[in-house]
Amino acid sequence: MPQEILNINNLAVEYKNKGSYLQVLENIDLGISKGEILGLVGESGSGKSTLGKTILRLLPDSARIKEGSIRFKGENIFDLSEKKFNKKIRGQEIAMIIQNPQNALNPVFKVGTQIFDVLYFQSSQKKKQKDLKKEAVNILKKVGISDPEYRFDEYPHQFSGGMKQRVMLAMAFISNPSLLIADEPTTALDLTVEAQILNLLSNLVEEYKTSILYISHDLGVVAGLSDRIAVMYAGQIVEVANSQKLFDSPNHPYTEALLKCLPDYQKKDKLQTIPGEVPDLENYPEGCNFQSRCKYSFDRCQKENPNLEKIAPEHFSACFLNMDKEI
Amino acid sequence: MELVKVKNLKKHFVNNDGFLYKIANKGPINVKAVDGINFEINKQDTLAIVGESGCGKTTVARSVLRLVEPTQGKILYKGKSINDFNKNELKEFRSNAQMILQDPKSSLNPRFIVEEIVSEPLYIHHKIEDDSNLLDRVWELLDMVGLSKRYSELFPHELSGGQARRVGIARSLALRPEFLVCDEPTSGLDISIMSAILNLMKELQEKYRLTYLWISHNLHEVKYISNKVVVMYLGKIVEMADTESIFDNPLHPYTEALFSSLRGINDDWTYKNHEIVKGEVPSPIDPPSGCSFHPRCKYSFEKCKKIEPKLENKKEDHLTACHL
Repeated sequence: MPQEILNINNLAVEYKNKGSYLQVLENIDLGISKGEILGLVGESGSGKSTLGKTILRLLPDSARIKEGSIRFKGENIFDLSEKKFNKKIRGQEIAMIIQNPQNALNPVFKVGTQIFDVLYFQSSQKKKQKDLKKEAVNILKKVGISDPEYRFDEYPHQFSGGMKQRVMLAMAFISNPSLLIADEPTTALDLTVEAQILNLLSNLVEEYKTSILYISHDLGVVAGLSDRIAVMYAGQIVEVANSQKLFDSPNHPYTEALLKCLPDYQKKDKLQTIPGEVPDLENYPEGCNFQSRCKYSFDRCQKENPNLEKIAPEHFSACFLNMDKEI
Repeated sequence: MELVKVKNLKKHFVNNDGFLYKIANKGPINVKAVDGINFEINKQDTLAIVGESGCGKTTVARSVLRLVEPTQGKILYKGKSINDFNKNELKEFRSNAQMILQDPKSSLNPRFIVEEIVSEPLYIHHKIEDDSNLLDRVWELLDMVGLSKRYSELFPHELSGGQARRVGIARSLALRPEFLVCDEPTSGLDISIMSAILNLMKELQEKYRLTYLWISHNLHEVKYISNKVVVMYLGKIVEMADTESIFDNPLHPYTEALFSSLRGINDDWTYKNHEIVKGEVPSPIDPPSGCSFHPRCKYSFEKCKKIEPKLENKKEDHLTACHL
């Protein structure tokens, strides 16, 4: 059994809304092992970004952790003080790259300076400026930016979207993090550039043995990248499995329906859709969240919410259909 | 029978004003957004234009609707050049050819309710004889795109992304057009909603005999909806063929690279062992000499650097621009 570096246990997160609290994440159990790429997929509003932010404790003030714990290398991150968390974990042990590289770089500083700053604050022993600059140039070279000495002195607006995302990757990997949270890092990029970035990411993971939580809504991207996949629906994880297994034999009705929506699964016939819409946060249905849209739903689904249960080795699903199978 | 024919279309954007350029006296900058393309769309067909951002696909779409005037070349609609239309002909053309805009939310007026949004084209084109029938027509249009009557009273901010997209489609259909330009109609939508919109578009096409010019960078979607695919790179067509033929057997190295990320999700294929094209799309201000793809192409040889390949028929109705 590979060593688990992150363990999320029974996590529930709520947002304040008009005096009451809305449950955004519910009953989340998830583990990430060392060197593993875990893909987290789900439709918009399913809570996947909230989960990513919770791990880095970046939630807004209006949110609160209702219950549960996130253990990073055995330590509950909610027990740490903000100062300690900032110094030890955020940006050091757990790094994050966000969706829009445009917003992540400061437009009035040179790209090199921004990398330099990260190096300066993260190196434990104070090095000479000259050495740090050399290191920054090396990092730029490593992520595939041509002519790094020259590029070092350029501003973010002189970089293309793909190059900016490369810079973000470079910054994230400076501290050699154990876990990288990638929140849809390629949505704003072109197809060929997306493939380049994901190829780079795969190579960096192999080199640094970093684990990745890759958040995306594109099943194709996740399929080509991750070892395991977790599917989220309305604030809950409904299925976790090895990526090959998930695509070959999806268990949860939502995963099954989602895969059938993909146009590449079928040619020319009518595409399947999922009836209805993702339920509104303010009025989740009774019982299973997917119950109103599920074609298999029966009495029990309307009363209870199923937990994520093991249905096969390394395959978990939250559906009552499986429990009946066992009996 | 062809409905739209594009003949040697060129659109160059010239930038020669600006104070600094005048001081530096550099001469005008010529951005060749679209540089000499030819294609035709048959009636009731769907022609898809794919390509990365900056390749000129949106400029083609805008030219086809005469939203920008081409620098050179002609666009024929039912055999008549749309650039020579007089005022009345143009007005008729405007009601026959409609566009579905990219961003579903920002293309709806936030101060209008759905009823006003959908009926606005009817007012502009004086298609309403009697105000009492108006609401019926709006309901009929909403019904066509799968929305119930109650949506006619909502404001755009009350709609979800998929619903806003449907309202946009209803508005485009209000004048009973024959030709629709769809500029990335499913971008930003979730998978399940995307498939519902694709179904709707296909259903509408069959029912009302619509012709689509479909612009997208989602190849799965293109494979599903189109009959014919045009691949553009830096303002030029690099490959054009029937959907099946181009997906089964892409001939141009760029198409090959673009489609290689489109393996089925059941394969063992991963990004790690994936061979990828180098570099990024060059700037159209200063395109490379010879074949514009040669700096990124793994097969490129001497000839590619000097001579620009012409779009030629390599197989039956499969055109490509490559020296190989």
